[in-house]
Amino acid sequence: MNAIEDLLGAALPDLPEAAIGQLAALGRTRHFDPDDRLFTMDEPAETFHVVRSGLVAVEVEGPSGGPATIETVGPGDVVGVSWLLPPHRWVFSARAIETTETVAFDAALVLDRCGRDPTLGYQVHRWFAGVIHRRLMAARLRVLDLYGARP
Amino acid sequence: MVPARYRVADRTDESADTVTLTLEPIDRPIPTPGPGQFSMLWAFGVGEAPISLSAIDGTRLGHTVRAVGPVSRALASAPVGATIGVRGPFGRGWCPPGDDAGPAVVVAGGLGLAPLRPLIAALVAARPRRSVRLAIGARRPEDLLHRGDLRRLVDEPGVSVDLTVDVADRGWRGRVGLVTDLLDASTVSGTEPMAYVCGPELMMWFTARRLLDLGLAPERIQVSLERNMHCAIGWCGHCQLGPSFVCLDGPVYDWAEAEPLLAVRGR
Repeated sequence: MNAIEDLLGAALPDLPEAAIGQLAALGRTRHFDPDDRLFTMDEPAETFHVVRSGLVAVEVEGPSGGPATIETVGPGDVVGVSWLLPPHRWVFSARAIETTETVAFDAALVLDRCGRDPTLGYQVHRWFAGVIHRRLMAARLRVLDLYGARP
Repeated sequence: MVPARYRVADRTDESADTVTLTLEPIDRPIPTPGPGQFSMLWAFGVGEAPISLSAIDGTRLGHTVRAVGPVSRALASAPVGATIGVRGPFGRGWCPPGDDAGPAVVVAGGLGLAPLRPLIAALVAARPRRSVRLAIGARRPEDLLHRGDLRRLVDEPGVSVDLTVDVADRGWRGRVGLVTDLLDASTVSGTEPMAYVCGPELMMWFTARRLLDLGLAPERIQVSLERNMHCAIGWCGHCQLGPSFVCLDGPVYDWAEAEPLLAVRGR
């Protein structure tokens, strides 16, 4: 297995090795310096990333004031889920906080491959369902304000 | 029950509403506390409040106080030279790992770092027998306490420090997310660690569940519960939680003890 296959193998443990290889063939290693943008909100969601090293901030930019960081994403985790569903535009921006290396996937190619291979499609969607579930839980807990003041 | 008089020898502003007071005895000192125990601090003319020890240095005591009520506001605003009453030490503190134990994992949320601080000092002093992993969360970067300690610990061999905050602007170059996100399979790999968790109850609840999911036994997870301690000697019952008096039996419990107590409260 190469490094990209290792990364995907950890994320998709139930996927056969051959399918991992097929998916890995769609990934390309990308390097980002601190403050480089991985993608920008409202732009077409054409590429998603799996972080190999470094740290990425997911940000929202509102009409009043600078960007606020919603969360950070570290090694082994996914940056970008908006490519999965229409309108296929980024809801948030992503920026490297430190020197970062990712594996970038062409979303259209992955969707096409998933459409032609239901087993692969199921596993990829299951993978992203897990990512979305984890982030939804984290968002709910943060709404609870876990660090609220106490004496 | 009679407080000993202590003088505020130093004060360090930790954040907008939180200060660490260093107290030294004016006359007789209280017995030497252990990590995780607490004192009852008197703001004379205002009232008394339970405050955990954030530093123990001979007879000098450190207490980190967040100004949220009349007593804690009076304590937090006490100037250097002011006199404060101290009763204690009270309660059962952290149970440190034995000499043959594996690594220690310390998880702190918000003000919860303060009661863990003496324990962290003891764990760090016990290296290289064991590694120490700190996972610390706060609402905002400016709410992180004891930043000088954290800066020093980052450079210590055998100690790892991971910080995360809930909310940050672009000036923050660290992680944003839940403190539980700092815990992964590597946290419990190898020799089973001992975990020490302190923070708001919800944070401890979800942290303990995360550690259990990662395979840690409930007996190896210690948490510090906060309740409304008044007498601190088990007479008044204000801090009773199920069959337990937090001032006597706690504030530190292992998770096998704490989980049913918290469930009782939730009914």
